[in-house]
Amino acid sequence: MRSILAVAAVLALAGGTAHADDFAIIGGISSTALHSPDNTGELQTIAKGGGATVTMLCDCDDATFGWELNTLFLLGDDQARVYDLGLSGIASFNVKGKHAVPFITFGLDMSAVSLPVQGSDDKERGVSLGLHGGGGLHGFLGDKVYWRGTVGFLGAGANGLTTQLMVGWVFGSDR
Amino acid sequence: MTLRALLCSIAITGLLGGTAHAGGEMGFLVVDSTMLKPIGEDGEVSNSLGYGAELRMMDTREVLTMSIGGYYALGQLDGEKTMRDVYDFHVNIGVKPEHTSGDMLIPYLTIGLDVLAMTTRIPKGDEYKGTTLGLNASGGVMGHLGDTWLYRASVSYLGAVVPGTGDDLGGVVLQVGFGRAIFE
Repeated sequence: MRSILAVAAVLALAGGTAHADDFAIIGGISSTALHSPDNTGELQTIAKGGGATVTMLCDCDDATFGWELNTLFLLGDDQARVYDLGLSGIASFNVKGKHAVPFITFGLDMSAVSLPVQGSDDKERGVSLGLHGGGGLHGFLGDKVYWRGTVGFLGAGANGLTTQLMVGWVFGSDR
Repeated sequence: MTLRALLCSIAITGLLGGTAHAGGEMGFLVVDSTMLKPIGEDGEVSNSLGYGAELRMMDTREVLTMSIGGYYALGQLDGEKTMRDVYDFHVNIGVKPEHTSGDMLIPYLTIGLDVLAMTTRIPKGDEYKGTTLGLNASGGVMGHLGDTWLYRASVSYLGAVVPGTGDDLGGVVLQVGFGRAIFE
């Protein structure tokens, strides 16, 4: 509980630096892969899948800040499953009218996971709270199409590195 | 690893954007290379290497500096040593000298709270996962490189209890990174 409150406070601080401009509201779909090192240190892809996102990006004059609610549905070998719901804060160079600018994102997750345990026939199952983070490039292709490529980590039960490509549609603004 | 990370961070942060000048309240997007070196477990745990990113905020006229960010560091195979993957999110607040506009050598000290997801991998053995809280104390130097760029190098002590095993994480985190201003 304390960790949730602490992280919520941090995200509120980050979001609070945005100006009171209007927000672009973006709905999108993503393709995601989850990678984790094995006992030899080699990265293995343990699950792949897709998800849906709702993103709000401020139409600020200087930097861009935003929020995102995202889902992941990842499937892997041996009935590996990761179902994740995340709430993220986003900080970026000004993305207005740009095709590609760097960004970073951090947030909280709730995951339902069923993953094989290395060195055992057992499976790790359960619901976990945790965190995620990452960075990459995002931008707009025209007025309505938004895209994003992210390399990051997912630490809620899955504990692995993620690669994600997302495309979205600008549905409007909150003004 | 470090050189590759530095080149990578320069390339990423330098691609586009950045209109700020080296003065006043500024925010930087910083990409770091990261090494976690355990020091409290008799050499039984290998070093972990990875990358990080943070939003660093400071006012060149004020004492306070703050950062929000995270990193991952994956345990490296080193004989029979235990490997530890660390995924970190942290918020740090600290102090630096006043009136640092354009300075290329700015010492700073920070303390912070970490939310940590860890996987402990024992070669030919078990694997333990979990999420926990930790604390860090950090010191380092940063500096302006022109109007929009920033470098930083820091040494932190990260204290936490390892989920699943109950071991003391007790590690030194070394970070070197480059950033570019995203707002002023």
